[in-house]
Amino acid sequence: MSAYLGFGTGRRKTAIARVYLQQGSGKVSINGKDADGYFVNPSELSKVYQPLDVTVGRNQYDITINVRGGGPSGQAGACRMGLARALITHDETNRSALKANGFLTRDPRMVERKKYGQRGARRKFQFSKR
Amino acid sequence: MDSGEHEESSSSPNADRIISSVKLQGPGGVMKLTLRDGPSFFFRDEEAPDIFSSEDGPVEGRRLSDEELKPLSRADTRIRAEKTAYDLLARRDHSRRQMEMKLLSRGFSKDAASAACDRIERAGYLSDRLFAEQWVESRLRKRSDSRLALIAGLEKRGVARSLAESVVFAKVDQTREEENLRGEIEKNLRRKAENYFKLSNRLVARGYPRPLVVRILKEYRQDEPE
Repeated sequence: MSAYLGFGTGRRKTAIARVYLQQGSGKVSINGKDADGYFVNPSELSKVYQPLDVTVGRNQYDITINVRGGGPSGQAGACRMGLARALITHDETNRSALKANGFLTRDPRMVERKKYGQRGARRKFQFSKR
Repeated sequence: MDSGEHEESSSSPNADRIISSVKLQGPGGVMKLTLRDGPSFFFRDEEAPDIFSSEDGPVEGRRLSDEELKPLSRADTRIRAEKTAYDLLARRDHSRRQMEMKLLSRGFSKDAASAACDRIERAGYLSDRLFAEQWVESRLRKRSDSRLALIAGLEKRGVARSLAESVVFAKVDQTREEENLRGEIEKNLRRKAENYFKLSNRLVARGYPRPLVVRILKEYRQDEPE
């Protein structure tokens, strides 16, 4: 990776994203694909752009993201957090806006394990009186 | 489950080592081979020629030979170690040493742990330098530690001393350390009237250089009203 302005790592569920920030015109590439082609769901796509929307805007930087693990929603959340951290590495003044919107918090919610004697993590087997 | 159990259960005379299915398991070229009697193994597509002696490779309905089972078990252990490592990384950053220790504590062999860490490091998800930088930044946001304390904290977390020193000295220069020290002194003086001798010893024990502590404490003593 040639000289980059900022770097950030984001995590959500089991997804890990590495985000690199470079000077550019707003191109976002995720695992070698264009962002529109990678995230098909518009809500997931807009999640990735949220840190840019509250700070510098979408057209200032080219962003390269490597993400692995998890599903589409987890990866979108991981990209968002990684991008927020990369923006802070580049310019510390972005911190207040990003923190106010909650983009710097690693969401601790993970899939809860299934317990024995139950059908799922919380769901019990159907009760029968007799 | 230890891969040794696979060997014992599948190499007993009554075990059926016939391949029931071979499927691609997600991106990254990882294949899952399932035997008819239950056990499954992961291996990478690129390792297949080294594992399978037959020209056909892993074909459904073929019996696995003894010579194929051992390398297959090793490949499976390496991939499971890598998966565990990624799951750990998904929760928080780790240094390489921390990751290896955690994998060993979860029952993986030293080779498997080392191979998994090598692979993840090459992919860029495990980096002692990045871990050190982020740890120092988060530490400095909430506390005012001395440089020595930060270096010791990084060493405790498995970062090599030379790397710890280079990261800490890049993030915390002399001026910043002096500011941190002043902050600590003011905090202590606000709490209660402090014996300067005890305070200086406490600050030195926390890693601040003694000449710096003495000089700054002298300034505060001079400022004190008689």
